[in-house]
Amino acid sequence: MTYFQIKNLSFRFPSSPFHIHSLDLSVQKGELVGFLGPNGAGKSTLLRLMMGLLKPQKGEIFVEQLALSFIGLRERAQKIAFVAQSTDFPFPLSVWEIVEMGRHPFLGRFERMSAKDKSICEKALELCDVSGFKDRLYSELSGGEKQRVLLASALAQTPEALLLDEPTLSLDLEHQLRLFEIIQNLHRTEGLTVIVATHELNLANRFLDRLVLMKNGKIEADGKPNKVLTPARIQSVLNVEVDLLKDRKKMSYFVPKVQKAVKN
Amino acid sequence: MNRAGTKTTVLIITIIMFLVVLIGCPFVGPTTISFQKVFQSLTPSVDNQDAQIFFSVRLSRVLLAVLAGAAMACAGVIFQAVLRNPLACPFTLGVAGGSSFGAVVAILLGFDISVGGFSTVTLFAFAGALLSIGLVYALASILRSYAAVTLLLAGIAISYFFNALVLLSYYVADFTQAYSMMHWLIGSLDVIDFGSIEKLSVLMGIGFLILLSFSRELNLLSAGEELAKAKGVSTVWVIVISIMTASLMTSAVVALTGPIAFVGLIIPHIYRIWIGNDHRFLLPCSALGGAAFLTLCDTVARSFFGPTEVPVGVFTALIGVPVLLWLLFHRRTKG
Repeated sequence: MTYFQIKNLSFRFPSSPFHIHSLDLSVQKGELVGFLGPNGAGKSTLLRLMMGLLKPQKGEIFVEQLALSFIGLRERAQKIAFVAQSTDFPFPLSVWEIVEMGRHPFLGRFERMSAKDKSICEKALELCDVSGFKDRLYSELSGGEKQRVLLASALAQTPEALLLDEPTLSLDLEHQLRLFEIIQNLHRTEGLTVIVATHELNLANRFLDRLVLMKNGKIEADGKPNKVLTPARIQSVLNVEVDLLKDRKKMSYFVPKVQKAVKN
Repeated sequence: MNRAGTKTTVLIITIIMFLVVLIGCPFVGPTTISFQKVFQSLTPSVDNQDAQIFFSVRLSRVLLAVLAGAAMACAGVIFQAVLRNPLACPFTLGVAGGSSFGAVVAILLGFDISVGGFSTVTLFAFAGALLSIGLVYALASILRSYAAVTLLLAGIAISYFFNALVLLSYYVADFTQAYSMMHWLIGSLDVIDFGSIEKLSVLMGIGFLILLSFSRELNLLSAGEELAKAKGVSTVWVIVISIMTASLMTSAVVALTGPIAFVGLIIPHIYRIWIGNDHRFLLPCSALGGAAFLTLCDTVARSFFGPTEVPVGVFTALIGVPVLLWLLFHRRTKG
């Protein structure tokens, strides 16, 4: 079943040329998709359009056949959760206070969190492996912990779809792996539709089911990772020559050739 | 202790502090009055000087301080949260500049009309405050942006504009007028009648409840506009309503007292450092804390410098700044 249906979508920021050009894409319910591409390819913008944080100039995005522009903000937040690139807050917030925010779309103006809401938050913390520091301040956490807290806050929305914008940015290798493991786990156990914008070719190749390769606001390739990621295509889209290595389990790895960044 | 426990404890401490100040301060002043005599209903009220001082002089002034302190502290919380700027205060959208301009114009023209028990200066100050808010919103809607930075810049621009006009009026005023202007501009509390207090407290009560009903949205909005939107908050609606409410509350108070500095800046910070950023607690704590703080400052200002009175605006800064600095150096929770 189709979850996201994007039809002829075009977007530009005021006084800039078009950033997304008549783009078509559909994502099935329960898919685990990655958006790949160079800086400025339009990955983050596309995610924001899909969350309704930006309004397209042309075209429409349908969520389960319903036009996104007709779905209210609260209702959207009940279906779709979005995690921005590493966020910092201007005022002190505890981990629990951030996770609690995920329940906002389900609560009436004067309603308080019920026991059920609280247990949803607890479960989200547990799934992201951060239940140990509910009462700690967000600002005192490490980068990996912060990212997991933001993910937990998104999961507290009990969403059907999860949109992640470069979740592994500024994380060390161990935490990158852990985050992708958590994402894969969520997808498997909760049946979530997950879309991840990322620069991590090898992690995307290893953990995701489908990759969408973007450049200049257009889709260059779309399909299974081993079909999409070829050294030739990586060179044409990312402008970097790579070597393809295979391990004993036939898993592919891409290693950039040093000093050979191609100039067009 | 966990954060939820701390918040409740701080709220209870603040309530106790508020009650002590509310009950204690009317007994403090240049004239000593006795508790028994004040509540001795057997003596006819005309002869009972203690009761007269207590009720018609000190209590009305204490109540004005309570309302003014609460309103400015709440407005400060709102402005800092919505604009996501720790330096924002109730005057950021030009309310102080606008009302000051209104007041100096009234002093300059020397009109003496009063409507509903409010003086010309008060009415002009209120009109000036509304004018500045209106200008800020007009600017924002022309620019088609209610983003924090637009409102902030528009507010600062309008403030400077009105401040220039205030200085100009001050320059052309004669000696007595200039003295009244100076007195008004520092901000001070005067004795007002209970009718005005009644009207003011209804307005403040409604405003406070509106703001409190937005507290969860404010928690989200103060963390970031995009985050709030992604979690289902209609950000423009929350920004417009909460800033409008806070500005109206400030305007009403400032029209009566003049722009009393620092209450709206310092009290919200003290509580943010103490209990964090949960507006369900931050708003009531700041309201009561601001009320207690301004009442205390005013009691000092009117009691210990007899026969003259020092404007309360001087003490809010003199007492408030060291308190804030001390907290910044000793805070247990880091920002």
